[in-house]
Amino acid sequence: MPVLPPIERPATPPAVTIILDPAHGGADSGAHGDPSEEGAVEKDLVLAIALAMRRELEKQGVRVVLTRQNDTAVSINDRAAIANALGVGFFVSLHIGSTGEANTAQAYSFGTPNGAAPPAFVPRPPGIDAIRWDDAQSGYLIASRRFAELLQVELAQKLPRSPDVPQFAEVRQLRVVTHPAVAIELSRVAQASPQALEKTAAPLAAALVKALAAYRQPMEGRP
Amino acid sequence: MTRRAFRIIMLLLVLAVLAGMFELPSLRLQVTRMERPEQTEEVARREVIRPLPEHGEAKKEMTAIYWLSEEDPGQLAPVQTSLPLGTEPAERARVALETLITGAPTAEQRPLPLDTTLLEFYLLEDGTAVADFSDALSLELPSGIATEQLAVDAITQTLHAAVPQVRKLKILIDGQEAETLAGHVDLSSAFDLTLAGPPAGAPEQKPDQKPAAAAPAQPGKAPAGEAEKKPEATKPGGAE
Repeated sequence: MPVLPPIERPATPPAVTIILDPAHGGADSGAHGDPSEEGAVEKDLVLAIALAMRRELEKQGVRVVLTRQNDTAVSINDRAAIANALGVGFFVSLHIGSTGEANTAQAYSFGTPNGAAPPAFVPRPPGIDAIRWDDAQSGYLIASRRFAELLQVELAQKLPRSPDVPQFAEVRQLRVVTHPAVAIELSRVAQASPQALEKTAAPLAAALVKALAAYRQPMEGRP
Repeated sequence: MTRRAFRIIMLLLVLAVLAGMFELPSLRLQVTRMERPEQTEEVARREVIRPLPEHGEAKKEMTAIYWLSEEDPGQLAPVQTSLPLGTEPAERARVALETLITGAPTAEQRPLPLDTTLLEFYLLEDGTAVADFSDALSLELPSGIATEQLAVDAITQTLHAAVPQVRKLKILIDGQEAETLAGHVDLSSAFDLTLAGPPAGAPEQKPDQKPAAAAPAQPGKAPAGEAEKKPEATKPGGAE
């Protein structure tokens, strides 16, 4: 039997990678404020927030991969392909919704709203060792939910009046990702000063860093 | 010109005037018809599809319609509503979903855009339903995870209450499969209605009276085995 070389353990834990996904882009502008006026659009705000978050996160030693860096259309599957090509990481999709209280954030992980059961994932046929693209998230549902829970606790502190608990939603983007994956939906694009949303980048980055630290902390007594 | 030719010409002219008296009014009618503002395709479709009121012979019965809650528009609140559902599943689905779209007590409580039309509804033998909505559903719905999930939940839960035979629902937009509803919520596969548990609200309730437990739209977690059972038989804890 060949002898494997001893594993060298790095002195510090390896850097975390966050795949930041500013939603929409190009012709798909996402949610917008009053259509009659030239209001703010989701695609521009989430890009500005993601770029600012990247600066904050990199200061904290977090690796950041963006699914788009400018106003281009990237398909849901192409975004997932960027994410899934990375071995280990955390996927964070950034959105701004049309409703809700201004300057709050709600985290979602993939699932039916009551969390009763994952939606129509197709059971893997016996003998086939591949996962359907559409079922990529099926192995990460619990990890994603835990990530969302830890993140929402931080969001509730950093962005006051945000909810305390994350929600489940059948978000297409999360479904095709092979990482712990959450979507953050900021509220809301039609508010008095949508530019105020750009100021959420620093609190969002701080919340992510704290949630990741908590996530990676080995939990005692966990099976 | 001979007198005879003159008479023939006069006769022909008189005939032409007589013919015009009959022909012109119908031509005028056609012109005015063309001038009328053209109905949008959607309105026309809805007129064709909407059950006519004089056909409302079906017995009225109570069913839960999942509009947005008046107090918290981020939640659904079932309202027991008296509707002539009829007996045929596709007709029941149509009446309930049309009411969901157009019958909300206030505009703020509409989970779906008012212009949405249910174009087609099929129920397959295995309990899979296909609902084909006009593209107003995806184009006019405010984009967002929260709004889209509420729209889908309103559809699935209203359908589950009105047509218990439906086990799965596939949503089409304008006859086509769609990747997402309005950019976020997945429409690529069918929604499993049996996960929602038994339809909320008892049919004995009075019309327009909201159930006390309006906030949680779904009665908690359904055990894994529940999904395999017939919706009629769903009772908490009732194992097979």
